[in-house]
Amino acid sequence: MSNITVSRPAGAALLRKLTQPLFDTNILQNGAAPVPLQFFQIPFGGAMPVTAVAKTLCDTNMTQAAQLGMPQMFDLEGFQFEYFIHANADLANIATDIFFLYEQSVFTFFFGQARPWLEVPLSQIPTGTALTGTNSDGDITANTEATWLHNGHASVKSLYRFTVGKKAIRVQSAESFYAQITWPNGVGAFTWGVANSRVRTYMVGSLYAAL
Amino acid sequence: MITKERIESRAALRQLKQPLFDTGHILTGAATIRVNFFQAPQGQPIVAAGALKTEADTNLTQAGQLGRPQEFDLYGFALELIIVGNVAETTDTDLGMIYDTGAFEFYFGQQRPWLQVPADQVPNGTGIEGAVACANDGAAVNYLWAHNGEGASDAMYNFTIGKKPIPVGSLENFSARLDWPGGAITITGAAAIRARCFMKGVLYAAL
Repeated sequence: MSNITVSRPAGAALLRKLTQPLFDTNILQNGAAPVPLQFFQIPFGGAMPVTAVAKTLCDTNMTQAAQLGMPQMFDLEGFQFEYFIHANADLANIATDIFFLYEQSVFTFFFGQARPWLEVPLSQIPTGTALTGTNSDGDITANTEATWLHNGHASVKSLYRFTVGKKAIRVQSAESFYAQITWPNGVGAFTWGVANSRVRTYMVGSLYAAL
Repeated sequence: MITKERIESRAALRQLKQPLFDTGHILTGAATIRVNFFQAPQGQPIVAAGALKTEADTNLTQAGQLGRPQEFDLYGFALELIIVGNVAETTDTDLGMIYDTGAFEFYFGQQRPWLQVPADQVPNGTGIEGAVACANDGAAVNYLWAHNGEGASDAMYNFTIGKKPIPVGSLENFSARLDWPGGAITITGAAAIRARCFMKGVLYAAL
């Protein structure tokens, strides 16, 4: 019979607090009914859904699937969601697409054992910083249409604030978390543009990174 | 024999920044006198004989109350009016009519009104903004993304007094409604307008 011992305590690391969001990107397919979109599940280097191209730092800063590596921690303050329409878009159905995207969908944030901590219509999650300005289109011979729409004020301060009493939610090293967008009412195909749209979710807050 | 009521065990609850929300329809081409909120939970029709509500429509699982042991701290209200699809040109008139002659009411407990204000006092909260340029569609395509008040995530009718929220206990009755007390309205846009009411605050959920 072997001796029973207690596990060795983990060493305490020195961490630096950085104003650094966690972000992840997914693909909303053009011409197809939407499927649930998950965020923070596929890290840097993993295959982007739909395109199967390896994710780079443009797509995510997660290095592990659905968790922070040891000894990193994160203080979560809120969420932002942005989408990008590529190319000059045929806007014939843009209003329907925006309705499908924001008003028929649910944004859910899971923490720990797939327990939802937030379930709200996506319309509640603002874009944050976004293109603003004017837009005019005079070329009537071609379908060169354009849209720069965003949800809520185009401001760095615009976020779904998830704090209670200004106290951020601590995400510890190796704790599971992810976000998901679903369409419980079952909507039709997105028809904007000529290409798939990139959609990105931000967890806004402070990252505690190793020195 | 006289016995004492059993003392209920107390649950451990987690504070979540999670609004309560519910959706109703203002039907087009039909007279509408009232839209009720928080009365029909998930799985109930959104309008008579209509589609059943999902979590995209409401997060209430019981009619007019929170299930035990949930509790809620109410800070304020937001009211989204959602235009469905490419709009007919009449929709701007519809929106004006809804806000001009509408009243927002919140009821708590035994059908006691706790808030009665013109509908335009309750802001939309986060809403679509930006620019669209449309050159050569050949079709009668109209866009309307209007929202009441700033399209800001913290825009709401602040219902607190001295920054103190209103507590809503488990099984306490509450409801809200969008009313047209001066007479029913009939909107004429291409489709029903979805009206979504948010009770903004903190949900105390079971672990």
